[in-house]
Amino acid sequence: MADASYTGGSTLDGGDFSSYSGGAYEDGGGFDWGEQTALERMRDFVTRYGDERINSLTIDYTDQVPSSAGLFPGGLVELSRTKDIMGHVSVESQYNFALYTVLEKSPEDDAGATDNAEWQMRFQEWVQEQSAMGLAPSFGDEPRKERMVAQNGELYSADEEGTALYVIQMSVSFTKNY
Amino acid sequence: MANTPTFSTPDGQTIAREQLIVYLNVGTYATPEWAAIGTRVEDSSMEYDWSEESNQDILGVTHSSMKKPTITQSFDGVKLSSGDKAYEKIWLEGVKNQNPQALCNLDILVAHFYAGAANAPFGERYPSSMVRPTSLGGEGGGDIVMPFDATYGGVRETGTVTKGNDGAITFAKAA
Repeated sequence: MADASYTGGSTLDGGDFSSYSGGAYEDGGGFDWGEQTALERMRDFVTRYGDERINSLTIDYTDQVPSSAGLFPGGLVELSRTKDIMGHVSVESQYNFALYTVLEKSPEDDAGATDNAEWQMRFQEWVQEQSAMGLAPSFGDEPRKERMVAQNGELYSADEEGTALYVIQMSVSFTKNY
Repeated sequence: MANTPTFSTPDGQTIAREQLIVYLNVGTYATPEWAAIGTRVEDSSMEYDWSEESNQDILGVTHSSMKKPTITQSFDGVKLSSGDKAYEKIWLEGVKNQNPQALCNLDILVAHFYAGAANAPFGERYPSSMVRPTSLGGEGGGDIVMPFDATYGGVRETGTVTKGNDGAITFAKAA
């Protein structure tokens, strides 16, 4: 989980929401993700959402100040592995992430809580839309079949100082051919 | 060449499925260009029909006979993909041209890479094989699938198969 005292995480360049100037749409509605690593792609994708309430996105770390967010990779899970009669291997895998966001929320502040909850819901719908329209980043060799989901967004914790920590579970399934 | 080629794989080990590959000639008979069949197909086997027959005479003795086999093979789960020359040729003759004569005279090579000499594995060529696409379509959100059946035919030739560094396949008919 997000640990304000944790200092081992990295903060990749380009994590500022307001400064994002990523690639351009190319053939088929896809996004030009260049030669980025999987983590960089995921980070840039989340950053694309753009919202004035989120100022920074760090990896494996979240500042305990409002408007900060942290992307926590949860590892890769191999879902299936098949081999055709010619010896080609096809592996379906899934990357898991947790997106933690720190937002303003005073105790018993219903309006603030509502805003935050709606932000969570909008973000999840946006990820769904991006994936369904083929605009999410590609992680494997068959982009058309890839699927990204953001789900189970919820309040994780709240303190008396006027901040609350929310978490959204994200995952992307993809296929690589060898 | 020997009538009974022995296996060239290590003793005691099972043989990988990819050591048995079927190729379709996408060139000409005189200048063949062999394209492998089976990308994304996970399970396919050659079926041998020996037309076997067994009868019992009035003395209770059983007499059996059979003919040379008719070999058929089904390729299910064939997903069309650009650049796969074998699938493109079958699609061209079957779906676009609907040319039964062409489909009944396709040139097929079966390469047994596990048998014979390691540098010259056993191969058998069926120059007038029949290939029949059985359907074309698929589910929404999925891929275009074109399963097909093959019946190996024509005057069978046996020989050796070699694979060049560039992957090109060459068949040499046995003398």
